[in-house]
Amino acid sequence: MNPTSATTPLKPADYKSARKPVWCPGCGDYGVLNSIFAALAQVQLDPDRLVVVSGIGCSSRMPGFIRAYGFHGAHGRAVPVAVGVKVSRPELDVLVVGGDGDAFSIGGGHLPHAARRNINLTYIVMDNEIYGLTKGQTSPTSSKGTITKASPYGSVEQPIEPISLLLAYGATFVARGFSSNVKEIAAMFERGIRHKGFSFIQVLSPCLTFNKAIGYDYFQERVAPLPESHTTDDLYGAMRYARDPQKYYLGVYYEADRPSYTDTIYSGGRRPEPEPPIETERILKRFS
Amino acid sequence: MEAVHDFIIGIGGESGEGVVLAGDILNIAAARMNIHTAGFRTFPAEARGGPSVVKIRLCQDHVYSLGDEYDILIAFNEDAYGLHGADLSATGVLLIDAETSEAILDRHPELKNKTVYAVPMDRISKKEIGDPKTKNMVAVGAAAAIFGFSRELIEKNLGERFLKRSEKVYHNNLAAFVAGYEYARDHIAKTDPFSAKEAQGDGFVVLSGNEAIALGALYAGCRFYGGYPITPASEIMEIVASEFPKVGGAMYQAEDEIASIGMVLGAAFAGVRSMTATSGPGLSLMAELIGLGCMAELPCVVVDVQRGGPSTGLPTKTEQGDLNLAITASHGDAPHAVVAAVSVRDCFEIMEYAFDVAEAYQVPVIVLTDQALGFRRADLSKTLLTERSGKPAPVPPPDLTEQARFLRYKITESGVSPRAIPGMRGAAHVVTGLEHGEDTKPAYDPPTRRAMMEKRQRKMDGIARDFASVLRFGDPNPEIGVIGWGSTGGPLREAVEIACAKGIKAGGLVPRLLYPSPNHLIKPFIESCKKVFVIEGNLTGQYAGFLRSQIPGFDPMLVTRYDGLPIQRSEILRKLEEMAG
Repeated sequence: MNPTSATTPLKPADYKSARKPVWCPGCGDYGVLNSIFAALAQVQLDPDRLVVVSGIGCSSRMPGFIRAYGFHGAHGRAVPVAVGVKVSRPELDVLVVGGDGDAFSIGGGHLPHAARRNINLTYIVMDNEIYGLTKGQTSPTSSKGTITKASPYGSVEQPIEPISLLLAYGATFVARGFSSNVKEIAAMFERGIRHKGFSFIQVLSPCLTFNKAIGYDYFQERVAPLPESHTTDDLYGAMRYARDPQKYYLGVYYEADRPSYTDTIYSGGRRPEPEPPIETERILKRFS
Repeated sequence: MEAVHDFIIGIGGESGEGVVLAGDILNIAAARMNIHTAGFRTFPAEARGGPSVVKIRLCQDHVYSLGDEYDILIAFNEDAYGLHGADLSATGVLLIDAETSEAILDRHPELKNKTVYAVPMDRISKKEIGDPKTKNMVAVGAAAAIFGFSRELIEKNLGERFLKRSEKVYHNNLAAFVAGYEYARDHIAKTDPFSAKEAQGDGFVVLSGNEAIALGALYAGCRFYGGYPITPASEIMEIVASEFPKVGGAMYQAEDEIASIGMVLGAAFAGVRSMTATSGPGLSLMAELIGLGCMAELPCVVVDVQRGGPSTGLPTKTEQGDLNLAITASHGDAPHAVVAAVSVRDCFEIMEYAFDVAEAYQVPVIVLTDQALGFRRADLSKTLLTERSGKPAPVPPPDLTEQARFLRYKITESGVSPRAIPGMRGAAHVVTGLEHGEDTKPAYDPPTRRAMMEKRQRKMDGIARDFASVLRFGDPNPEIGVIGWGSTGGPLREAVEIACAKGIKAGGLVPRLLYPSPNHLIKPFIESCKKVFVIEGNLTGQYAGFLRSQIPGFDPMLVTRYDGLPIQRSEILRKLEEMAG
């Protein structure tokens, strides 16, 4: 992590960019964004050495609202771009943000590999169980029976459950929060950022425009803190709570200490400085 | 009989018989004798089994193609002669295993007029060495004795290759080589003229096109490679995987090609020279993100080692069929560049060129090679490597004194905007694939859209002007012109030069920069010729079609080849002779 070099500590507002969010009123992503500001201030990350990467979707507009370097890329490809940033410049802090369609549908093939390789980055998925930017179609997390214009008779599909997937993929920090609980998710983000490895945080973040049935009340009735008896080294317990058919359990499900990819391939987790010269004599011998 | 120093050797056998290794040893021996070489090996489509053949051309001067027929064919078994005998020249020499020689001579009456040497390769390896796997070394020994390859240099090379494996492997291979050498020396009465001639110099490196791409990237300062295995490009990733970590770089094997290009763009944004290499199916998958690179203006290099398409097509065979894809590369008008390497040496050099174009104009650059070039082996001067430090140049920080805020997409005359990378102070910004204003903020209004489209497009004029690279061969005032690109360039050059020597006023043009098209160099050539034809390795004449769109009224004749095999100089020469009438 790169601490800021500012002489006075940065406040959450110092991480705000000049741009105002473009989300609908009532969108859960406002709460997530404010909690990100709070977490960044808590860690005092240097904005100039922070890269925020996203794909495409409502929540993927977020890099524009954060004072940092940002990459607003292509639908589903936030994770590969972030991996490219982190592996080529391991000293940078990398935060990935986006939605459930971006993460679990079009980008679903990238998650297992970033997780199993334990790339040191923090991925915050704002899950509203719907495609918002395209004006309301079912996403991989939409409940069975969800009615949209593209599923007029109700979705017949079983949704995926992200927490248990990421646990299976080998992510070393897995958590779930709810966008209304701003303090709780800010603390979760902070832990995720401090975690050395692949941190995955699912935030239930309602879309009042296109998924009215799955609004704040819906979640309020179904969220519950993870039982105090659960410990974050208990993988199978985490799996069980994640797959609970009635409840959305909130909290840190799992945390493991495993060397990150860049800590493994680079001695000390950094690219050598200065760079060692090319061994031309050896190469000439190798090919002659 | 006058000795002939320039000749072509073919070695054929079953895969597993050590055909490729035998070819390698003769090729390295020639390079150490300062003889220029070009080599090629086919490999079977499946992971194991099937026939295998290598070709090595030796020349006192630079070689630009693999030449045509074999002067010498070394056949490890009868099938190998059956497969490749037709490619042996009328005055050619056949070196075969004594056990099969009678059968081959009986069944192939055409051999009566050719020189045939029989060496008991199988028997020596089994009886004298006690290791049937050393049959190839007996053949190498015999070939060295008959055709003048340095015994001393090969023995040294065997030590370098085998001692690290085991004393026994080394001993067996060396003994087999010596036995083959001495058998041929003592029992074969040489009647052919072919003899390798040692020259002065400090030797060459011998690289395949794929190896040259990987080393070219290393010496061009590339330090990040994200890629996914695909035939025939995987070799690039393998060399990168062994060399990049030694200089603090990384090869990341991605989960698919979309991820590969995504990572490359991420690394490019971070300010590290980055690349991927793939073949047609992978390039198809990368199309969307190449467009993101064009829109977000990120410098990076994508190598496409073309194979036969569409779909899985001919994975192990060559084609120049991806040009249309490379030029269009993305939806929308997406400014980027396409360059093509014309030789193994150029595979090395083109990487620096490609990265320079990419960085100067902040665009993705697609480098086209193909299976035939990727697997072709040739000598390169050692100075190509020794004269370069290969040290990456840091991205210079933007000048922030003149503007109140850093404008990543500032509209300029050249279309090139100031660039900054994470870590630089006062220049934090968000690159985006959305249309945007100068300050990167998404913007969809018509005036901004027009201004940004035109800004990006202006870079194309600059590339065509500043990085125009076109090779010209043959008569400076040609009557018959031939235009080719990529791996066709070598055979084209030799065909044109042979035609000129025969009194045909022929000229050749081979652009390295294909897109944006350096029309200011292509048009005068076309206008100076009475007749022009375009030769390329695809069915529809993709480059000819592209040139038609670039140069009004241009309507060339077309010679194409699309059977999975590289275009040979003899085909080009035949066409030139036909047109000269």
